[in-house]
Amino acid sequence: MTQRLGVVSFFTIWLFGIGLMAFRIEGSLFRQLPEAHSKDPLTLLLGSAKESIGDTLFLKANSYFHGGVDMNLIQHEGMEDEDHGAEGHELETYKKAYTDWVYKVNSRVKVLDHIHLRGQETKELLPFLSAAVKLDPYNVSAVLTTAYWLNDYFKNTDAAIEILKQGLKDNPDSWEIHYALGMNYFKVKEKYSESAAYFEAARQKIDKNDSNRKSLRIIYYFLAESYLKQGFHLQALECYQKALFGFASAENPSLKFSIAKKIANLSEYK
Amino acid sequence: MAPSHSSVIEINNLTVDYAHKHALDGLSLSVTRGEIFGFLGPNGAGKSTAIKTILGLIFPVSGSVTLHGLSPDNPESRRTVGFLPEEANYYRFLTVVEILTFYGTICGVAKDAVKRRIPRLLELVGLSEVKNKQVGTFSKGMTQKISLAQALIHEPETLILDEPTSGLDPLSRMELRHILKGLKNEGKTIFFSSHELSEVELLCDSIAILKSGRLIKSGPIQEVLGSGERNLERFFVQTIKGDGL
Amino acid sequence: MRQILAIAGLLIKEIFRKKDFYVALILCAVILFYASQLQFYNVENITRYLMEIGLSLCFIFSAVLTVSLAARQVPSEVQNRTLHVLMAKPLPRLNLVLGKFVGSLFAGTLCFLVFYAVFLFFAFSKAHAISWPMAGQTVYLFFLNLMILTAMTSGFSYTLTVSANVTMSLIIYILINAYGATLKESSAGFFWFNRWLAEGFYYLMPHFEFFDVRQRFIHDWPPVSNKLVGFLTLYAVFYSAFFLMIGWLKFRKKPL
Repeated sequence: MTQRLGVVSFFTIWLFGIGLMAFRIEGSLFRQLPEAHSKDPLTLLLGSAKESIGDTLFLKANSYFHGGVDMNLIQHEGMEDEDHGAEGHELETYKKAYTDWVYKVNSRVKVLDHIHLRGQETKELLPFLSAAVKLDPYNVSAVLTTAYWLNDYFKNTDAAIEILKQGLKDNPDSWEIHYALGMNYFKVKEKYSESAAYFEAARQKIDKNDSNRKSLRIIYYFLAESYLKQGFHLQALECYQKALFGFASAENPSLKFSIAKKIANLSEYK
Repeated sequence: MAPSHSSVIEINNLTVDYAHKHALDGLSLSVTRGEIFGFLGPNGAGKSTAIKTILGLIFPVSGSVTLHGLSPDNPESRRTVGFLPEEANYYRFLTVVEILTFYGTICGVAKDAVKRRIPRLLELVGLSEVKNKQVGTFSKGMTQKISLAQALIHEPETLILDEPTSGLDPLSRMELRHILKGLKNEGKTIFFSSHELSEVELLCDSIAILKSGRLIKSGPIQEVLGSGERNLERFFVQTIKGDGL
Repeated sequence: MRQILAIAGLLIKEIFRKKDFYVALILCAVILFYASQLQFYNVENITRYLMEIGLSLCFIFSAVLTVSLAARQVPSEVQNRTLHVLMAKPLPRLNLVLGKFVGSLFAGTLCFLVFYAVFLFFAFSKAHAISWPMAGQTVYLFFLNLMILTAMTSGFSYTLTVSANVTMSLIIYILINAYGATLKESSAGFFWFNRWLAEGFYYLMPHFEFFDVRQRFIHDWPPVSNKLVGFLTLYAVFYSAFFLMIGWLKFRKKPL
């Protein structure tokens, strides 16, 4: 019996050692939580697993949006597709090019077809999005997605703003959340001083590199619109000009023309 | 079906190992049909080991055992054998009736036959009052009575009892003796191990004395005792001590 | 056959006469009741999350109860000395192995059906339309899933202690369900020996995730084809037989 235990222990330690060689432990897993959150009962109960669970629930919401598709069994390619329009934030999916029989069985048992929930069906996402935001407040995508569905599909702008504001407390440097708040105040609430403040914050926080060029252009544009609505013509002019700089040469000529026209109209205020 | 055989249990040169030593070493004995056979020995002599080997619960290193002419590896050898273990427990969540029904079914007794036999058996062992109680609350004496009832549910030809009176009060022991005598009168063969030499003296036709896995003496009780000695207890002590203890 | 069914009947009585099942049932009902009362931003009639929670509870509780029942059968019979009385009867050892397996499987399936009935009650209370063919297929495939799990736990019970068996069986079950489908892909970057081991496990291990059609049920997809169900049945029978054979080979010459 002791001999058998010794053999088992040896193999367990040996396999564990070989396993460790194949993995690297990410330093970011050990980041320090802000003090406010370390007092939260869920954090005390679940520790850092809380955020993993939150992220899992966010992925679950994504799966639910696509009709229960098993994300592990599909392959993603960055493509535009007509379902999602020119912005193409969603991805076309197709089955992975595996030929082993295990994958084939799983591909027939699990959901692999690509559909989207439509209209009122999208309410099914809300429990998972709500839980994802609560459990992982640092998941900016979860915050934005939840606010998006609440505002755009369920017309519950107040709830969307509340979630975004809470998200801002947890992610004060997130330009995306500032921008989303700005859009909510601009388009729905029509409170332009608030929207201007959020767009301004977004402008300050966004990384001004080439990959954010379009986003920065849009921020300047809506900042300009917010100023214009408040009658701050000089500030609006300045922002429209900066928005115009954000276009590549042949990009979106009609929008470029529209901005140029607004600049021309505001030139008298110089 | 086991072939007709005057020897119910036949053991030839049996050696069984347990914890790296011979628990039984070259044991040979024979139990004739219809007799009560007493199996004696001090603690650790190998009595329970021999019983387990007869029942096919453990396996010998060498030698042979037959039970009703069949090897213990064959479950059919136990078809007409009832076993009463030394320290038995039963499924605590079952009632007495359910236990007897279960064991009756395992032994291949038809449903209606089991239903017919249970009240008779409960009357015999004195458990009629508690037949629908779960056995988890039973005392040792009541558990021993269930042991006897389950050993008899399939009306076996042979009974193998391991320390049947262990833990019983004198009244219960007397009742058990009475039952065993009644079973013998019905022609059943009874093979039992015991420390209670007075019981053995009263009941047994033949005995075997075991020490450290080896057979010291065996045969009809009067032959074993010899013409001089009339007291089994004194004879037993002398035999065990006299063999170099 | 009578012996196997008698032993199986014993296990069914055991699970319904002990408190474990009732604790799980009450917990399931309480969790589902609480979940069904949740409101999300004043949006009415959200049902799929409740289906997700309900089905998960049914699967988890049934698996845990079945594993703990199967794992403790032989070790507790040995410890309580009930095994000697049983094996002294004309009972082939193979019949004991089969009886314990069949009993654990049927007991687990009955528990699952009770939990499933509670889940369906709450699903109807949220006015969710149920696809009965899909509901039936979910039950049948979970039964096959449970068959392999029970056989594995039963097979291990002739070698391992109760706690080791329960731990190992549940860990294997959870890990395969969670990562079984992607083990080969995940191991692509491993050290060569680990990759070789991982691929070996990938092909040889019982893929419990084959039998999980909850997402089809929740999202109103049609049932899988009968041909596939037939294949999965054979797959489950094969693995069950394999684990039971391991248990029987260990038990048939084991001194009691």
